[in-house]
Amino acid sequence: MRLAILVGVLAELAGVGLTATATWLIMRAAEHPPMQALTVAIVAVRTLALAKGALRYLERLTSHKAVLSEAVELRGRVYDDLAHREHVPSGTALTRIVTNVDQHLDAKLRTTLPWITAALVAAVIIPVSGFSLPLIAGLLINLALLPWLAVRNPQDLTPLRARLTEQTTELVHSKEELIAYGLFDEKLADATRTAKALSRKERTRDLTPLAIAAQFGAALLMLAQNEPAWLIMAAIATFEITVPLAALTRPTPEPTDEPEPTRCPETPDLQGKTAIVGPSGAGKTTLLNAIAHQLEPSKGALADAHVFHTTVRTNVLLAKPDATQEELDRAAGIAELDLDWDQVVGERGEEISGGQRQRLVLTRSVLANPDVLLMDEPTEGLDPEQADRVLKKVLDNCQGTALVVTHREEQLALFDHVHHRWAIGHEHVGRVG
Amino acid sequence: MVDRRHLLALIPIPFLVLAQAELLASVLSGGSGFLLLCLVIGVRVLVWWVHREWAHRAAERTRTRLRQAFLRSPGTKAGEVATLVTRGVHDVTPYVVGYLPQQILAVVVPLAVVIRLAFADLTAALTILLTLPLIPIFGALVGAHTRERTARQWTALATLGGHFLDVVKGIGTLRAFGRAEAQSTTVRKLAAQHMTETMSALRVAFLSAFVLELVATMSVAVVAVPVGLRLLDGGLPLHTALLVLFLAPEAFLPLRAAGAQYHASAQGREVLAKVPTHNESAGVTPPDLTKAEIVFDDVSVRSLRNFSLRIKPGDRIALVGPSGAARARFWGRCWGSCSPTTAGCWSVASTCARSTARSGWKRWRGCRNGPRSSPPPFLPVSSNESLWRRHWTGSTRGCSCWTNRPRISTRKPSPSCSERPGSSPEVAPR
Repeated sequence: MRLAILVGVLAELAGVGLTATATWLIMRAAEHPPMQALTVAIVAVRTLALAKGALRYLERLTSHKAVLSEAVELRGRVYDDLAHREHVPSGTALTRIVTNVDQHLDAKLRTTLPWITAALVAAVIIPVSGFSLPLIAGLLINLALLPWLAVRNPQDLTPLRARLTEQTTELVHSKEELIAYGLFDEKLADATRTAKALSRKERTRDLTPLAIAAQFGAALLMLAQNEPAWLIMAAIATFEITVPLAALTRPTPEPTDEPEPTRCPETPDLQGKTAIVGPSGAGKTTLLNAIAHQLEPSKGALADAHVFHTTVRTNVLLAKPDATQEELDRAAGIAELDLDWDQVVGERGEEISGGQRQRLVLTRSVLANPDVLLMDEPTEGLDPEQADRVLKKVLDNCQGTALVVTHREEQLALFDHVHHRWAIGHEHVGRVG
Repeated sequence: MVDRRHLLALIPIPFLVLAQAELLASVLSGGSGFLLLCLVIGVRVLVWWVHREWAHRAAERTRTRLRQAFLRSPGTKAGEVATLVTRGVHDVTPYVVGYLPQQILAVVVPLAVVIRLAFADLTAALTILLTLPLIPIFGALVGAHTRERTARQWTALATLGGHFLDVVKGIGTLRAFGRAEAQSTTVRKLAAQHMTETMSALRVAFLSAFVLELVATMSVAVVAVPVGLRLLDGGLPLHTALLVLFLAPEAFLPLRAAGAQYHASAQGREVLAKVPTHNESAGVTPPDLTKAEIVFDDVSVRSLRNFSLRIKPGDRIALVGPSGAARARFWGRCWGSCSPTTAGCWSVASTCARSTARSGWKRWRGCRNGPRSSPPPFLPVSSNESLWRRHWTGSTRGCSCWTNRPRISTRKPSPSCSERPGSSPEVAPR
């Protein structure tokens, strides 16, 4: 980072120096001095011209390198933090965490570094000018006042962005269903309204014209004070560096804090094989998640099932990295997974069908063989016969405790207990004969 | 798609640049014109203010239009589309506000400067006229050399960048299997790889900027030094010398700014390149789908192969088949969201269905299975089974059951097949 700043300051100083020296050369030549009086200036003009180009190239490279190295460290740190947190944040919070990392790095490159460079160049030029008041005033406006005004109270776009993400995801994931129910156009109109609002709010305060006014205002004042021409031109060149700072934006980090997941007091006994049934919205998944939170991660509880954008094999091997091909094939046989082991499943498993995705997740949990097996509608997307068959095989294979959310009454015979969930506070645990 | 009206505000800029250099040279060489200079600078600030204001409005309109376009044909990758719609589209702002105006100025201002200099000092004008074309020529050379590489790297970078999000989103699963710690090194390794790849891309990409910068600064040196020497000999008045000195950089400044904006707007241009071209309602009148037949003739989509089906008005069709038999693909196909993998045609009453306006489909859908008034509270992605079952009640005038895999075939409508679609599927190819 320091190297990037140093090279950047040198590059800008070379530019300002070039303008000042060239102006001095012309003004001095007009006085018709002997030729020798101009030699140094002529050499300086040529050197500075060459130096500026080379330094600018180096500055671009060093600054990007500095920010990218920080990215390596930052991503690693953020990941480690997530790996050790007590609770895993929700999907939205996770996406926001990634976005914040990217924004932080981008702001460093486009906001912090240019500002520091400009401020340091100003710190060099001000003493050289003999502390010219208009120059100091103008630089203060362009370096402090305008950037502050530009980044002050940024619009919080988080809620709008979150809503648009949600709406877009629904439009994409449920496109066919939405069209089937004739809701697509309606949902599209909703999303479009959000998009419009977001586009309007994204307008930033662009104070560039004010920065230009400060630049030339200071130059005119210096002109009125009869400052030397080279200094006035140097001042204009210095201000040129500060003008882009008036359009700075500093994105606000999106909130990633979440309330602690509520602990579920009525936890069913963790023994045998239990089915959790109940109407939609009765909090079955919440219960499952609450139990998952209470368990030691090492116990291998399975509630969240993310399918990674990689091969079927890698996705399944997560459960047991040292599994042999026989073990893999056995697990796949139990879950009736019929995918090629080397097939890439796509983003969130979108290259395979919903049922195949379910069976992939099931294969993984069979291979993991955890103490407590938690499954949320594990056979969703399979045809009824296959659903019952696969679930039976998975449960037969399970040595420990199993807790399964299901909607199919036909499957209840496979369990030792049935846990009914109605509206909050009305639980009933029954026993299946 | 892109709003360009704000470019009109740029018209006075070349004149103001010339006037400002002229007056500054006059005042510095001891002449008059200080008040006029103040006025010109005031006007310049005003013009910039108007231009910026318009530019931001144009950018806002452009963003809205782009988002609408992306939402209308969202494709299949939700994550990608959501990123594009929320953040990606925002990247076109530098393109509209920065790059487009500079593109115009990079042509107009150098032209004005060279013309003015030709009257003041022909040597300087010729020097600039000869060095100016070097910038686009070198730029094009560097660009041609790097284009393929940049495009390739962009894809690689997107994959590497996407990895972090994928791993973070799956942290719960990784932790459940005790694999979170092990992934830590992979995250760092891939981020380091991302850095190396990006840097090697940038080393080449910044070369064009380097050429631009070098030609610009060198030409100032090349103009200023001879002018100074001629001034020394008394062959040139101070006013002209200063005018040449001030105008020479002005010829290169917009080009450099355009170069910088070109890089700043790279992502915006990528976004614009992704705008889906939709010819959905390309002037074809949708047939009356309450009366039209829908014909699938030898259609292949993914695992669904050589599928043929004729749907008569009033038919109720059950989609039956084991998991992975492309039921959802077929459903998606109906709305033209999937494209056929092999040559095949499907048509509606002899009109190519791909060009049929969606409104026509809605009408068909509306009379077949659209309980619009009671939208489902929850739309699971793979709920086709339940979706069908929900609407498969009672007997119907006719029904086609088709099942088996990988070849899904049809059978003649049979009233007996009105119960649960999975109960007695018969395979009877037409």
